[in-house]
Amino acid sequence: MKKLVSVFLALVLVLSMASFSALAEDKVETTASGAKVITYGEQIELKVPIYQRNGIKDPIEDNWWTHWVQENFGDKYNIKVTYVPISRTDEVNDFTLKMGSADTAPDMIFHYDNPQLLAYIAQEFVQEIDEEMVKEYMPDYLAYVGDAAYQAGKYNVNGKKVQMYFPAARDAADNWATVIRADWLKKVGKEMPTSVEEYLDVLRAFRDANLGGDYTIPATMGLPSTTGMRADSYRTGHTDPREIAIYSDLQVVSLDWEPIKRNYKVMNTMYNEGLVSKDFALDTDGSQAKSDFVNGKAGVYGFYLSSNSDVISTLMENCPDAELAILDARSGVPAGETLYDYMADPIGISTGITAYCKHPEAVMMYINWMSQPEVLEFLEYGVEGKHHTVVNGLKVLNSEYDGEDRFVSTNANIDLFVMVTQTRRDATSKEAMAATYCPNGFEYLMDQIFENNARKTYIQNYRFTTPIQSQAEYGEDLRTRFQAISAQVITCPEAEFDATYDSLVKEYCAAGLDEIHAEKAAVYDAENP
Amino acid sequence: MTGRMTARPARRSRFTHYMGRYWPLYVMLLFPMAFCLLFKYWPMTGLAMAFKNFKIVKGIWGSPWNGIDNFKYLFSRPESVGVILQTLKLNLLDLAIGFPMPILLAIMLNEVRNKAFKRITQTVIYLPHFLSWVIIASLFIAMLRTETGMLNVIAANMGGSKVPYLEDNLLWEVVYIFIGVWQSMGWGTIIYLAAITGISSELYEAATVDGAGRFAKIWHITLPGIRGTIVTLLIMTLGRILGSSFERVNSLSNPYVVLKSANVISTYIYRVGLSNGKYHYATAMGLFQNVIGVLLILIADRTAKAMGESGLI
Repeated sequence: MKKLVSVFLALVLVLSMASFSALAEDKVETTASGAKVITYGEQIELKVPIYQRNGIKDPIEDNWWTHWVQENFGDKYNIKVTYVPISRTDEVNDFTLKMGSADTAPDMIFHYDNPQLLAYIAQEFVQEIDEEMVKEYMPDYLAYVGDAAYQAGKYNVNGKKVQMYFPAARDAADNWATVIRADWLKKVGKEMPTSVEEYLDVLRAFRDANLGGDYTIPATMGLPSTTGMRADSYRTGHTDPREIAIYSDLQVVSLDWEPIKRNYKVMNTMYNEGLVSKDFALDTDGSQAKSDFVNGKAGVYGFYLSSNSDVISTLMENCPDAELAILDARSGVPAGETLYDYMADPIGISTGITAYCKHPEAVMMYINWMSQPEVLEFLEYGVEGKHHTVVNGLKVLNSEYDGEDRFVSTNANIDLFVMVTQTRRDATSKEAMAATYCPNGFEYLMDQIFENNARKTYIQNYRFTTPIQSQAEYGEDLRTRFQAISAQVITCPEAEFDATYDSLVKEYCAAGLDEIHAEKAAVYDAENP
Repeated sequence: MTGRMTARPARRSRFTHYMGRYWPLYVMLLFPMAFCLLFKYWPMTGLAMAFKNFKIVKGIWGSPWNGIDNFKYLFSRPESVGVILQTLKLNLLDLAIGFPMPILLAIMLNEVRNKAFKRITQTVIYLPHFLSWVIIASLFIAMLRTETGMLNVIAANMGGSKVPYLEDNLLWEVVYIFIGVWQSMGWGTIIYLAAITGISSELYEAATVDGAGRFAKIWHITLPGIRGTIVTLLIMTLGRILGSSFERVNSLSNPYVVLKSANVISTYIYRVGLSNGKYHYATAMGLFQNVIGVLLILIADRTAKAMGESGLI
């Protein structure tokens, strides 16, 4: 009897708890800016992906800033915001593995490059976005990124043009810097090179003078990546829009394209003449190249400038006499040819809602909340006096600040607000960019970047809006093959280059590249009748 | 009360009898059984994916069946056979070199007289087992790099020439086997040492009286004493002959070997299946690998029994 009573009591307890939670209902409201928001009766979880980079100071998924988001967004609407770290150097694999199960898959998936965005659509990783809901939930986002950027998120899916991604805003700000040791140039008595031939001569002089000690590496070079192997500066005579659409791609490298082969030929020469590290192919994440440069062993190195990056500061500690200059972009181009360069898409990262997501409106609320000027401003610049100081009316990030609310990543909070914008809004003029990206005393680098950019003729990749099925099928396999081929054709003896290259590329074409080219040609012709 | 003495209880009543008498034990048994069902057998239903064209939106059961198309696709790829052969090659080498090592080491440790030395050695050789492959790989890659690796720098300074340990496919395989042996050797000795402890010391005493030397005792007492353990472990190893640690191959891999020496089933599954979002190809290849593994275990077990050992199953 006693047992029966206790069982009964337990049942009553369980039932009453269940009915209590059923009582809590979702509450729908409208914010001052006209955005619809839901305060969930029962807490939901929103899994937000975030890039995990090298050299972060606090756990990227659990730090002062993520707590701030939870307090100011999550707690307000009864959403538990969980950040899912995504490896920056291996993101496609990382996302794909996580998409294998609903437990590990985040609610959003993002990527910068259009070919991969198409692949995610072809793999059915992303769900279609309801545009009526976007109008209701995301007025701040729409106002912030503008209609042109928003429209770039539309794709052809099963014959219909539908919204698949939320593109972020991006201003034409370029903070990539390829620097050369100006003091080395002076020591070997050379001028800044203005063609690839002159550039090789400078590197030979660096090598012969052993300016970096026993293991001088005239120029750092990592294993080529699919996004890096574009052969921009070898494209003279290859700028027909249809040819660019078929052959120029950030995900699958067209090894059978003449500009690419010419580019490899130069890399092969550099390797065989000892102008790059013999171990370049083992350096898959660029850490060896960075260490060679900051330790004063290397003459040329490329990286994203940022005011709190340790590249320049460590180099100056190790080699106080080092002088830096931006390498003239013409040193990548054969004499007499045009200096072409890749033009980034005018939008930032594109974020899709994954197929598993049960609360697309929560994703919309999150992105919309982050697009609000005061929220974005705070994530971008933090607090004056702590995270930034105002100089001549420009907010300058303070790279020294080390309180518990310090910026976590070397690019400050970009990874946190990347779904909304790529560049801090105030940082597009040369002066503002110098203030934002250059360490103190190195603002002149930004002048040189602007000078360099003025010399370039930009080519934009064609943006397919129809998923290329074969590319989704073979893309990752071809990427591995591309890396293996890169290592082989760069390191083979110069005399065997042509034979090695042609035989490897034949195999590579048969492994899927030919099929991709044929499909791209057909899709291009259909999209451009 | 007399029933128990006279008639043999019928099957049914015997069941109720045991249930009535030992029910707490059966209830306790429910937990491990539930565990096995839930975490070992239930996930196996996911193997259905190997015969489907899996789409994540539809889930495993909503995706359409496609018969043996996944297997056809995998084995129609020109590299498939090479991948299986390469896996076999690395694992057979591992078996030939890596399997006897812990036995030798265990016997050597057993013969060490100095207790303190023995303890310290044991602890030190266990250590690599607890390092993750990522750490081990970065240690060895840093050591074996052609240009700046410690080994090659020392060799160069002593007038030798530089050896591309990681770039030459044959040398890479040697490095791969060596690192594997180094990592697992110490840990492998534990079971053998335990088995050696179980051998009666009277046998050794009797052998000593008979004038047996150290090697004679190892050969005639220690080795036969742990024969059963060796056979059991060998059977278990054979079951994994088509499997290979993904972390070990992948973290030691580099662009020079990725499509040759380091192109084994586990990395192939990862490249063609998982990283392309084709989870059904990955499942199909994994199923193939495991079916072969189970067959090998059964064959090895039968062989062992035929040879008079107790076997595993």
